[in-house]
Amino acid sequence: MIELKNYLSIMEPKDRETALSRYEAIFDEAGEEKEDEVIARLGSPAKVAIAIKREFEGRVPAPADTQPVPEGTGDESSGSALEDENSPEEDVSSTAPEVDEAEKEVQAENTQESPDTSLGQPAPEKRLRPLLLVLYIIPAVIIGIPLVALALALSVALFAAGVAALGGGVQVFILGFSVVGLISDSLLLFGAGLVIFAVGLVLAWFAIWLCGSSLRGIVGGIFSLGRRACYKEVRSA
Amino acid sequence: MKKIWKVTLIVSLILFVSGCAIMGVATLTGGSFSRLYDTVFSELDIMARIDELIGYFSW
Repeated sequence: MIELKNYLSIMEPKDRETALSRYEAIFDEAGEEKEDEVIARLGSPAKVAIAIKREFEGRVPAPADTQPVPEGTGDESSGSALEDENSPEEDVSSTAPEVDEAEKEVQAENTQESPDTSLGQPAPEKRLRPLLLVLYIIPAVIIGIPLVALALALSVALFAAGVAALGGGVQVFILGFSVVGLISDSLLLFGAGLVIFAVGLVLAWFAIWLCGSSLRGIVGGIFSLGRRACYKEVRSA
Repeated sequence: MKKIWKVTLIVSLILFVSGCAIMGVATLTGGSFSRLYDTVFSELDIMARIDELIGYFSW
């Protein structure tokens, strides 16, 4: 039971307690005399853990022989329940590959949380090449600064155009109220105001997006290119 | 960020479509930009204001 508890440590505490109490009930019911028989019938703790896990994940229903036996049936029924179907030897032999697979699965799941770093080769060490770094910084600055300035200027110009359009849209909309005469002319101004405002909204937001993404792209690109060019991977012995 | 962009785009699309619809209705009911220019814009002298604004930036 302790081993089974260890295998079920990856489960939800509530589910684990439910499953463990069920198996404890089976052992209590069988008594000390038939404990070995129950263990042989159920299989190894790993196999039981997998069965429980699958059951609680909803993949398969609980095995019939693991359901608690009603109390009124007494020892006879538990004894017959234990002796029905296959004999213990047959059960173990027929499920041996499954047990191996189950144990592997449980072990894999348990080791997922603490990956063994000693299995892989040591990570390659990166060494800076100073001369290349200096040679890289000069053209990076010469090309990078004008690019950043261009992106900024474009973004600011677009943002100014967007804000102007927003203001213009509001102005045109308000102007619609001051028209004396045909209502259709007022409507025309209301419509034009809305359209200009919508265009201004898109322009202003596009300018903000362009500024953020272009600056991030240019600076990030320069840095990643520099990292690739100026560092050399060296495998430590 | 993406959500704000989506909301902005949807709002501006709604405004644009409704503006176009209003302008369409106004045009069908006899609205005219040239008449508006002759009456409203000429009184406000908008072109002179725009020239003035451009004058601030040209040196």
